[in-house]
Amino acid sequence: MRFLFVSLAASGLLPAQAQMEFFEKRVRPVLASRCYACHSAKTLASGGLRLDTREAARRGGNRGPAVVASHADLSLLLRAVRYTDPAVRMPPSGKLPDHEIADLETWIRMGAPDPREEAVVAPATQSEEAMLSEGRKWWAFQPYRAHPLPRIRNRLWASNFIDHFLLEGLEKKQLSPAPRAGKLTLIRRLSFGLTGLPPSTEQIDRFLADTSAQAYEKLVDRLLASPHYGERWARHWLDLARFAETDGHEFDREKPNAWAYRDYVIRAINADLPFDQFIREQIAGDIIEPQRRLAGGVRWESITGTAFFALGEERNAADDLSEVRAEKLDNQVDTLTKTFLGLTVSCARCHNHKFDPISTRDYYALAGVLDGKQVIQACLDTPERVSESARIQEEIAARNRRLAAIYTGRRGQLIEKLPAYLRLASGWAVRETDPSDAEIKKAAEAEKLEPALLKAWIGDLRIASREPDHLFYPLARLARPGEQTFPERLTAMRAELAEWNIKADPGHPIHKERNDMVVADFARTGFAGWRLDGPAFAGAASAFVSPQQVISGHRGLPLANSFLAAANEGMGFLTSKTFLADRRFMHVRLAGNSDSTSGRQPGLLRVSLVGDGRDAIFTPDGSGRLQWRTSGLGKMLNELAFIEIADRTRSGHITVDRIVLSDSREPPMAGRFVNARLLRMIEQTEAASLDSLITGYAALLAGAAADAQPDADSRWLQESLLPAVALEQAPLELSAAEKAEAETLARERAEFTARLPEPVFALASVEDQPRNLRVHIGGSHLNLGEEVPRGFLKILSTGPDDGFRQGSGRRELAESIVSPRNPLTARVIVNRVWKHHFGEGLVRTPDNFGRTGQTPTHPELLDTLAAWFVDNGWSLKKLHRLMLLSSAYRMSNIGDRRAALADPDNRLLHRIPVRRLEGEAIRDAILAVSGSLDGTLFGPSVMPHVSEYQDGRGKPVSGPLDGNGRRSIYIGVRRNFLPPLFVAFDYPMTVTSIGKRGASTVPSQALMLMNNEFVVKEAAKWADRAQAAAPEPRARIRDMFRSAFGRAAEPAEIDKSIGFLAAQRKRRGEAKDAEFRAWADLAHALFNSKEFIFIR
Amino acid sequence: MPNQFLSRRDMLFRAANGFGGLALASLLAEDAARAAAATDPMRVRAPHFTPKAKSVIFLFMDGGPSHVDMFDPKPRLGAEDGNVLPIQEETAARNPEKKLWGSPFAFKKHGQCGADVSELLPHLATCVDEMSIVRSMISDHTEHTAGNYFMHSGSGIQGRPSMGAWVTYGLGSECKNLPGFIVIDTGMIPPGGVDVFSSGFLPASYQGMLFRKGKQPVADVASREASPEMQRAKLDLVRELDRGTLKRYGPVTEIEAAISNYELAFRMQTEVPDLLDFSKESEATRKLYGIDEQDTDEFGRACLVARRMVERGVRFIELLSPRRQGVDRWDQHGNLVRGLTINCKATDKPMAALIKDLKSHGLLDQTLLVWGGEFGRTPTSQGAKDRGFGRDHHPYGFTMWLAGGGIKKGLVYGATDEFGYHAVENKVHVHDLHATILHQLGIDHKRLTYPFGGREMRLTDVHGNIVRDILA
Repeated sequence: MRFLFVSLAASGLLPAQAQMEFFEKRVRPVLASRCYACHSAKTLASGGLRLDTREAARRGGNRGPAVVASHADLSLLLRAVRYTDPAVRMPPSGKLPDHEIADLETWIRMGAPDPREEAVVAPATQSEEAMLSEGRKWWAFQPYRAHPLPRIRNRLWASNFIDHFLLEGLEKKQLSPAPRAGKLTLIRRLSFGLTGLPPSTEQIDRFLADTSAQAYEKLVDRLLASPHYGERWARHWLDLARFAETDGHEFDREKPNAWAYRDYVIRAINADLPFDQFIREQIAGDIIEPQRRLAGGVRWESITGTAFFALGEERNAADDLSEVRAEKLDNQVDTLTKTFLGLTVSCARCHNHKFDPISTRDYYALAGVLDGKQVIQACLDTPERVSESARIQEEIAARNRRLAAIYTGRRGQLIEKLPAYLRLASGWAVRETDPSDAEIKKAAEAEKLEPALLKAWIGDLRIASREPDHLFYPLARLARPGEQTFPERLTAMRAELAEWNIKADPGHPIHKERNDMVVADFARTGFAGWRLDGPAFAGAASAFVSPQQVISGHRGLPLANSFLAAANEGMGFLTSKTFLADRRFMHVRLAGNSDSTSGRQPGLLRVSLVGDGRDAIFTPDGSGRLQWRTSGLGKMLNELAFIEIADRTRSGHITVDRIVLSDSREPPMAGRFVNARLLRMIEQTEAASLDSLITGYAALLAGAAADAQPDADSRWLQESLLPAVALEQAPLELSAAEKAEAETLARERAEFTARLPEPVFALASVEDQPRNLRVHIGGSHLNLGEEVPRGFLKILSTGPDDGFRQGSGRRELAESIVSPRNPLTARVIVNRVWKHHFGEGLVRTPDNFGRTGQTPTHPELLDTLAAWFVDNGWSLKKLHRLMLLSSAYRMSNIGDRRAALADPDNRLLHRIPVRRLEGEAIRDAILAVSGSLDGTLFGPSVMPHVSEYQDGRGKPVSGPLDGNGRRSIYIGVRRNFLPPLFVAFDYPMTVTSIGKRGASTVPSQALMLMNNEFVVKEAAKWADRAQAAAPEPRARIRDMFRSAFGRAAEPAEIDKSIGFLAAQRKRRGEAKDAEFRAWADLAHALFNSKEFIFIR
Repeated sequence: MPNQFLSRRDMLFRAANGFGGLALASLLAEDAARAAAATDPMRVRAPHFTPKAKSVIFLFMDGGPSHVDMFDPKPRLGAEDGNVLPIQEETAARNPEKKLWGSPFAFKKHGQCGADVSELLPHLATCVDEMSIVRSMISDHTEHTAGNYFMHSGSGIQGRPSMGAWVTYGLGSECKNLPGFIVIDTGMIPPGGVDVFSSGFLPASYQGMLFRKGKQPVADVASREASPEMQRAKLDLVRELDRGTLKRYGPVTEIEAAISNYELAFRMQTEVPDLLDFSKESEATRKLYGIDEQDTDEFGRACLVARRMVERGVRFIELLSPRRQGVDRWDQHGNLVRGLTINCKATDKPMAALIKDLKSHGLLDQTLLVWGGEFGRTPTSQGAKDRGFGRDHHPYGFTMWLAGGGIKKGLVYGATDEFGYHAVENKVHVHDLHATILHQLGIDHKRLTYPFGGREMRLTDVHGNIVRDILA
């Protein structure tokens, strides 16, 4: 029965009334019960779609028409309910029963008859304004201001305004703050709080001895001045920046120079860089004015902050690069907004934020700003350093020019012997296998030739036979014996060359098919459009080749050559802007030293097409011959990418001539093939044999060498003379005077080279092509909506039109964030600092000030602190001082009994909570106590110790067990190989901002402190040190308790320890080291006591 | 809740040494254990509804096992061998070769249910009447790392909690001497590294603990002391010191938890070797698992350990596939015949043994077994014939199987198209699998949430439908 009805309906044979009946009976109930909850005027019109009137359903929402009458396949409604498209499945709670889907299909096929007449009201564009005005009511979006001091009874207790606000809260409930903590508790609390290290016994003694009223204040100032303060607070910041030095994901690729960001943060914090400037530099440090220099002036500093964006996870080997790009941007939006604004803007990626006044348009306006940058290695050398480097480079270059003149003057010698070399070499080159060195030596000696040069010629002719635009292509091809006679083959060659010559014309149809996109032609355009970092490429493309350098196939035209600046010592990068890689192949003509780095790691010498989640890599083979390398784009096709030419080693170079993207797998020839003189020679050779051709070559090259003012063709011929052998290495006979001069020049050159300053690089983000993004509907990069102009979150914008127009807009973004009118920035950082000193923030969700976060326990205090902070020049050190000098900070951890019962969560802050140290601080404390701590600041990371329990791809070579005694912040952060000690103690995920670490209890914490080799060895080192310092056992025990816990040992503890030592000694019996081992056991036990890792 | 806390705190305040003092008085005192539960992240929590399963064993076949060669026979591939795939490929599909390749392995129907299993799996074929074979799995990712993260955490990017972490977070663990989420690694950590088993934004307590083969399966679980008495003496001294700390600091729940944590760690030191001591297992059992046989020894031991963990109440056990010489995981881009044969030989007998052994111990009903990789493989061939064809990654339709734990017995569920390309009938997305696994454990996947980044996060994100058709 049902079937009959359906088939009749589908056939369109039902009369109009029956059609309406069908709608009423079968369609309207489905729409009403399954769809209206989200898609009707009364509800959200989710995705801009309403299904409650005929017109609205046909007009559709953001994705387009939902119902196309008579066209089931074009109707999004049907696609959604069929669940075939993963991007749109409706209703989200589960697929409809098949019969309901069939009914909807039938209805659409019959023309979607629909009596629902109500006119469509324009979709709620008003709602954004409504959302904003509603949103402004939330406390965090209202401006902050300093509040007047509240009246309190116990005015004696208050040291500064913080205490007034706190005490007001307590007194309202008739509660009292905890008593003041003792001096020993305070110095330990302060020392770990500010420097992450335990106080030394000397520091404790000094503090105890200072009975002046200022003793505490002096201690605070001394600790704030310690360089270890910067290390401690930099680590807190790194939690927010999801800092890591590798990419994570599959291969855990290295991020070169990521540690420079860590050092930057330490320096900024130690120097008390105003926090607003600290923000500006991390968001736009590459473009703000003025650029800040490191104290002492040797390098730029501001740009280093921009690594902030580059520290996230990078997917590798991805299949959908646009998706990766969108995910990366999302992570940057997420980290940026959580870190600086305490907002979870990333929630608005797929739909308007459900709780906070942030729209999807806001999200893409902001994401667009961040999209307009690229991640590179920036050179930090200041102009003085650059010109110093350039001056030395010029000294080197002058000597190179003179040397080149001496050697080229002697070219005649080479030409004299040329026929002999070519004859022998062409014979070898056509064979299957290369001759042995012994064979070459024997053959060379017989003809009085240089074996090294002969070998080079053989190699060159081998390559020539594969490259039609090679000078020796005709020779190499004709040297192959064939069935035809030599004159016949020569005729064929002439025809082939003519053909190539025709194809070389850029107007030839073949080029249309090839569809070449020239990305780099350094001879024609120099470095225009490329970003240059470091001295290696000497600032300009040049045709000059140092007599030291091996580079054949060079045609005397300018190229990008990292040898120019300072021989192999130069380091540097050339970076293109991002472009759409819409050709199937990429061709790079390059030469240089070979690079054995794994393709998974950033190479030393390579050209890379850098995409999101994949690179195409081109490396020289070390032969010294410019050659085309080709790679298919694969998954990178039609994706955004940029090109990086990198020389990151002090012992090698790379030379790049041209870079072309093309739809052809063959390297390009256009415009470059023809050497008129060569063609003429081939045309005119009356060659009956290979010999006469070789003679022709010799004459051709001799003619070119004799040119006083060589033209382009002539230079090409001259450069071709020395295949893969540097001029200085070619066996030329110089006169005695020339020889002496050459030696002097070479010596001087070496001296200058040694004086070249090593360039400094840092991971950085810099301006790229600014781009607006389109809304990704439902968060899917496959479903693009309207374009959104770059700008800031509407709720935080101050003007009527807040679009960003300067470049990417990052500078404007930074200014919007640090604006004192921004209600969040100052509140958020003040709260973060508070959290670290007082255990919990005034807002206990420090990364989320939105509606899903907690409201402040002391809103007026928070606002007053924020206002005070801005008034005091955003100085973090002043803020610390203010908090630390409050009476509140100096409270004991044991609260007043009544307060403890009335305020169990300590929301009124009636006491200071006990806190467990982080894994890094535990390790640092162990090192400090054992005497192994190396207090050196800064520098490349120490490789982490990797145990056999850590495994997976990208496993690094393990570093030393004790990290060379360096503080934990200098242990390399490899995403996939985080140190287990840190991870067990709640190290933050290196994925997003973490303003509040967990404090979990897991058995591996205990297992590690009980059994880990590092802990056991440090205990032994400590025992050793303690033994030397105090021979008398009781005195030694007292010393050890003081180092470990910062307090005197109680008599009972000393007795227990003595007893323990005796028993352990006895258990070891006659063992020679029983005494020492017992002490090591005691040290180990102290490491394991809870007092070692819990601070009150 | 606050009242409860308050009264406890008040109680502690009155007690001379707080709970820590109690805990120290007796190592295994029930009082202490009960008190510890208040701060113990592994304390057993009530499920949302009556569970079918107590434990999960996830047999994770890293690399992407080929469904069309194991569980999903496609005669048309053989009939049209070498022809070009006649359907539109997915845009992110990987295999540039579009030529159909019939399975080189013979299929036969097995058991009462008549499920098709290829000749690669003769032992598992005897267990089909215990299993639901789902032939219509779908995942979102075509590459390993994202696929692995996705299969484990419902998200293709790094840093989200793994299934095992979610489950222990939701239910705690009934095992007092071992962690709740254990990964048995017989040699291959999947691409994505140990983050595949991460607790993500959940507390570190829920991260997967890695058990490796060899004498010391867990990092730092072996004491470095010359004798147990030496260590005990040391820990006794620590206990004395900690008592003093509690006196000075007052009752601090975190310190109390850390103190009892030492006792768990201490017990683990003996529990772990005991777990791996097979001396009380019968010869028949060892034989069943293929222990001491060259092909199956490694995985057989892992499966037996898994059964012993289930007996001890470990909540979520994940087994990684064994490393075999000359085979790159289940990732057969070339020479599939050889690779798949080796992998199946290594795992077939032990897995069948695990099902049978759990059943004979009466544990199968309460243990949910899940088998599968991060995706399947293309029905088309890859590589050169002379070096042996392979197949590429394929998430658009592949097979996984489930058994025990309230799963329907002897069911073949869902179907791919005639080429094994698209899942076309009763599609089961990875999110659906996750929802179903949680459901069998008594957890409503929509209610198991954790606040992070401004919203309540879920294993199934905003997706997931329970596959009720495969539930017994």
